[in-house]
Amino acid sequence: MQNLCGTAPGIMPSVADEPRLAVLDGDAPSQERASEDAHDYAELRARLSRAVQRICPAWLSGQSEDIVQEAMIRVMRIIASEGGERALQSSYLYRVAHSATIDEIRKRRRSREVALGEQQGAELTDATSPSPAQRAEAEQIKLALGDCLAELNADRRRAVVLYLQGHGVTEAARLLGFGHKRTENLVYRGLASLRDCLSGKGFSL
Amino acid sequence: MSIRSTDQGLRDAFVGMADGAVGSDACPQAERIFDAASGALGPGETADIIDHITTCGACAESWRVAAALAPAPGRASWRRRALWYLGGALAVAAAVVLYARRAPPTRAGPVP
Repeated sequence: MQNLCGTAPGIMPSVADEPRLAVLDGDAPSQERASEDAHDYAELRARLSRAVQRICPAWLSGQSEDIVQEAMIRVMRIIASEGGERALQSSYLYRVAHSATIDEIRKRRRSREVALGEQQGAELTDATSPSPAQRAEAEQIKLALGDCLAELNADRRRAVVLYLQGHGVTEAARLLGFGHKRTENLVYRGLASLRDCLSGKGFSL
Repeated sequence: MSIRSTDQGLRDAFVGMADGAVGSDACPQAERIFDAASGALGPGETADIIDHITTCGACAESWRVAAALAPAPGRASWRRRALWYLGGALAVAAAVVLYARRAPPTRAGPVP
């Protein structure tokens, strides 16, 4: 894997080209090395591809190869500047796959927002789009939920937000640095307060 | 605490806050969100990120994506601890075996 470190910054080695160049040189050791490089590159790409596939939303699946490519470029830059040891750890590859995916999600959302802004007033014909009434209701729920979360004290709010994000109490406790029992109480009481508040605003979720 | 069916409605509503959210210049970098979600940051820094995702649907989504990929917080340290215990147990076992295989001490007797 360390062979990838020799790659110049910003230059992607090609799986197909490197071995071919070595063959032309007729240099057996460099041919072997190039073959190893190609294998390492393919393996790195496969690992990133698996990571991206795990998190790429369905609506973005058509761009998953672009995301993998962007992640590859970022990893290669890190390898070129810092060496491969850190960059090739699974946790680091996941980190890069995550940031490349999130950047693409945001880029697509921004461009969609611009496109929608440009056709202001035009009727949306997509049958899967929510109706204006549904959108208005969802917007009201969002506002009410945001207001009610803001009313909770900080510790309860953080515990509840982690719970709503899908974390169990044990994980939330570790993330917050609290004990399990305390976190359980914060989540339990926080959810009760949140429901009371939403109910007061006319929502029962 | 396991998720109740009534909690699912709240979770769905919270997740819905990400619909159409694009983030802003105030958003933390995706890498920091990943670090927070995977437990790599301290509680203070993590709390700052949680405070942000409370009101930012885009970053809340980024957190959920990170949580789906990152090792669960604390799991890595549990594995490290398990390896230490295993290493300690092996060392003790090796010491016992070496002690047992040592030749018994010869008793000093009268020299003929």
